[in-house]
Amino acid sequence: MTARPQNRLQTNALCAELTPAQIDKLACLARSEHHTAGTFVFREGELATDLYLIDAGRVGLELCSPRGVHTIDTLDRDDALGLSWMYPGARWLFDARATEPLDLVVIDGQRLHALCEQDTDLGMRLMRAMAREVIERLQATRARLLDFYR
Amino acid sequence: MSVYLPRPFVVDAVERETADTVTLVIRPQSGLAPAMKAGQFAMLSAFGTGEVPISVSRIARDRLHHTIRHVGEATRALTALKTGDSLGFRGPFGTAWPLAAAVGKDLLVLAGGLGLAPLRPVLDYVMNHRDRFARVSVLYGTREVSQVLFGRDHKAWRSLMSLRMTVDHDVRQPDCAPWSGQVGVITKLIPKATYDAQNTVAMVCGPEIMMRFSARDLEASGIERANIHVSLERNMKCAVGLCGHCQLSNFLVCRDGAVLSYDRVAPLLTVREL
Amino acid sequence: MSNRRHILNADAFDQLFDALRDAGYTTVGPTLHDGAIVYDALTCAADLPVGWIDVQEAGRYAVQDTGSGRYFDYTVGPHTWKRFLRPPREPLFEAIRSGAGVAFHAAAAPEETYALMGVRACDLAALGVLDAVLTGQTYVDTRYATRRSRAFVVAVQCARAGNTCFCVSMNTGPRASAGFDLALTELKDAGRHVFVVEVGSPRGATIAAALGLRDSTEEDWAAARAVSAATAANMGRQLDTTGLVSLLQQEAENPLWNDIAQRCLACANCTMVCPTCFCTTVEIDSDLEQTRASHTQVSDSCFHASFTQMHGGPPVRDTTSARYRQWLTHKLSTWHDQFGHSGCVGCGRCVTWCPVGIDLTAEAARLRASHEERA
Repeated sequence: MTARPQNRLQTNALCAELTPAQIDKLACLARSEHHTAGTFVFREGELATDLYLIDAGRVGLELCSPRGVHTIDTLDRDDALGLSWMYPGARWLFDARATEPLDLVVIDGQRLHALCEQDTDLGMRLMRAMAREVIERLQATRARLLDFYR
Repeated sequence: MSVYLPRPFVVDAVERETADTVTLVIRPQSGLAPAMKAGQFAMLSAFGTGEVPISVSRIARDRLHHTIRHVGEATRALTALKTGDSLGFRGPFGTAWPLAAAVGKDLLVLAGGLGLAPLRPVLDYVMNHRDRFARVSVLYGTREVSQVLFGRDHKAWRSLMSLRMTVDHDVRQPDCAPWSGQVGVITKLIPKATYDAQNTVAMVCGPEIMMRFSARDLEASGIERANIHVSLERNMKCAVGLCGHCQLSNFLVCRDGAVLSYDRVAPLLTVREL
Repeated sequence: MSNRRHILNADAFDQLFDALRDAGYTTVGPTLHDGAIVYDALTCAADLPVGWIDVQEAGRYAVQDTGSGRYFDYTVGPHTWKRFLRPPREPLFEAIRSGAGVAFHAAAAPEETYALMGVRACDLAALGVLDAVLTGQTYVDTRYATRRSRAFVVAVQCARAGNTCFCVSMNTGPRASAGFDLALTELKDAGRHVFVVEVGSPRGATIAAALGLRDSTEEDWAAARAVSAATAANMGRQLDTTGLVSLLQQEAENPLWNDIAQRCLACANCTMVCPTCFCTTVEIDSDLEQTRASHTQVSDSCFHASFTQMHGGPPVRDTTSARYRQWLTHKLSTWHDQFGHSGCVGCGRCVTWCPVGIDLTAEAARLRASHEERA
């Protein structure tokens, strides 16, 4: 938690294509959050306003049902948590629960939108990284749909 | 002596692994157990049923371990065997995991589902000869937590190598201990492992699609196809290259495999119904 | 072994049968049965289809009596020698259970000692192909090896080529130059009816010596070679094998396979009549008390759905298209990679006995044309 936000951002998957100056701009919007193991970062149905980047620890994306708690995915260090900030008004589809002590870099979604529109090069690079992230998660989901261990 | 004649073996112990999977610890009814290498398989048969190819999952001094999942008639009969029961054994057959080629290098072991069984002798070897390898990472994916194999070995493995696990589906009941591994497809573990792609040998075993997806990501990370090894499964009847069943284009899988380097088989795996 | 050459008068042909019987052989060879020339036990020369020829085309087979008096003017029929050397049903072992224990008893070693009468060059090559598969690898099929090493081979140099023959293309015939104990070339004209007898092994020399044959002349030998040259010039089919090994593997996804599958019935006739098809599976019969189970090796075919069945899914080769592709590609291409030579000897049986007349030489040529068109 002592590292500067810039340093913590540069290894994150979403920042892979950003220049150091652009990372600095992003860092200006960032704040740190710590969650103890077992606590929730956000809950299903809440407004999805922020982008979370995982600095340390692990998060489970969970959904509860009468059959138990379904873990949809787990995310680790340098993964982005929550992609729904891109669409104002969107709500979280899952609970995000820290399964280990969790350090996050949190970026205000509304200010990030404004930054992307003001610095379109930064916006383009960030969107490209977002798209890559979405594609990778889609591919992983498709692979799991094959249910190949059966 | 006919190459088709089994040798009588006896079940020494049965270790239940999951609801549908057991490990038979077996020994010859008389004489010494044959020398098997990690990656090789034997044709096992319960009385009155057909033979099935089962990889050796642990090579002890005088016992062989074979981990078997109940998926059909022959495996149903094998998984129903009890201590003291007899079975037929032919083997060892097939190629071995290239352990010698991995000495001095980083070793990456990717196992999917029951695919951990043919790789366990590799991990046993690493446990006994840890100094022969640089970094050793085990990436293990299964369908769900209840399918995780060899839990009793994990602690020892973690002491000498990195073990990362993921499951495709996780539904936790309120009174159950939470799953400590990840949730998601096995390929997601690959970027988390530390290895020098130029100096790594990867051994991959699991369902064919899992091996393909894994090999693709390993290759993308810089490991050459020739250093990625997979273990193929085809319908084997004789295991000695004489019955023609297990052909995959120019390979007889029982004779030329089951362990083959990915550069030799990759183009074949994407041809439909080959 | 120098190929000593002799002359056997056709009217003394029975002496060869007698000599083989005296040496302990059971002679099997071509004989007319139910309108086809098949291989069965022979006791004397008259059991051969004397004067008969066969007329073959894709999907067609008929026999005709020409009244020529010649012994070997037909080519090859629906049977192959594998029916004797590797019978379609072979006992492997019996498992006998007592209490928790089990014992495995290997089937008794085969006792048959065959003399194969009238083996054509293509079929001699086919025996070589089977030898490589069943006796030339790390593991040996001992039952085949036993029968094969005992078998006495009387080759016949073909005097006629059938319409589905293409041994010249496959470099296997029509003249057999090795691999036999004795080889016969039948010469018949107005003046005489004889066989030029080539000796190909010490075993052959012993039998030849027992017959007390006179040596052949240069003229006889020239006449014998002329027979083969004429046969070679009259092949009914041809197959261009140039580059075929890699070409067929590259064409694995050519739509032509689907076109062939529109006609192919997946009946497995081609694999049954093929002299090199060796695939087998195992049948198990156990008694009602579950104390005794016999395991029997039976012929199998890559055209059967069960051939590539694995647990929990359809067969790997689920469509007829994939099965035909496997069969043809194996014969002409992947066999080379697996065993170092072709799996096809050009006997033409698969062409003749296909109920819908699929012609492997024609299909290979179409695949080649399609390949070259896109190249």
